[in-house]
Amino acid sequence: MSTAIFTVGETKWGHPPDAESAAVAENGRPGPSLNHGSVLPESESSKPLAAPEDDSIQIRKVARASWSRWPDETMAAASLETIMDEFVELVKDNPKVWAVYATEDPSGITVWTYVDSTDRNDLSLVYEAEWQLLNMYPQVGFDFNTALVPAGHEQFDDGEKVYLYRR
Amino acid sequence: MATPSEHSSKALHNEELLGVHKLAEGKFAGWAITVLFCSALHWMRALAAQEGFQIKSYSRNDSEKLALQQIPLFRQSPQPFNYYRSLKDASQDARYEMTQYSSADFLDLKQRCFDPFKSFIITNLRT
Repeated sequence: MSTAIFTVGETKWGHPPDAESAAVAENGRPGPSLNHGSVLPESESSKPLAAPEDDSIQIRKVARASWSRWPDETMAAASLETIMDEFVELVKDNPKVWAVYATEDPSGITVWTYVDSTDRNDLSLVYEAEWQLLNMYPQVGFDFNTALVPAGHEQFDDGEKVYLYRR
Repeated sequence: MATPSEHSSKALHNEELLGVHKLAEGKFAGWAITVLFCSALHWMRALAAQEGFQIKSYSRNDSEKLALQQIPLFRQSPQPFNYYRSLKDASQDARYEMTQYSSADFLDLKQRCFDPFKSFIITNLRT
């Protein structure tokens, strides 16, 4: 098992085939969406789209978030920025983690951690950070995902409720 | 809502597929890893059913992800979550990416993640 290396412009970004199909089926158009229609068990969020980008070290776009999973639950006070800053603190010492991208919607926060490794030791550190975040914010619905790809010059999707950390 | 016993049976059914077709021994080791994850999913659902957590879908709300977050047993230690995430990521990688998995990869994942995850579940199942 090894990490495949792609040159700039060849990186295989995009959506898994069934995620793409589900997006088309549900929305009438392809594009980023949660894959609710997969025939396989996982719900797999679509990866952010990518394109060449200049060499910015760190970009962060944040909108205030205040929501809860259930209407009768106490509203979560922490913002997307606060929550994701804590997550980045937990993973930033792992040199294989080169980006963290998160979006929020009414049902929770979707997190993509970009890891330039398929080594289980590297990934375990990410999973432990995810687990810690789950315990720190039990009222928040998280959808954790990892993208096991080499660091590149990708441009992440823009949006109003987006958090982005890049090494 | 399926019972813990029904989920356990489904998990064992998936495991049996691996043995019957010796899926992990050839070029389909990636699919064997996917079957391994599907089995782990049902072991997890068995515990979720016991704890009264109903998984209605595989989207975020009422999903297995929330079960991992909400069931106290999963919050006592990071290891079961770690095992499950490892299996899930490998399963996704096997299906959607170009990574080639070998029998050795399968065995490593089974021994290091699946077996201890299953053991954790069985230890905590009351039935």
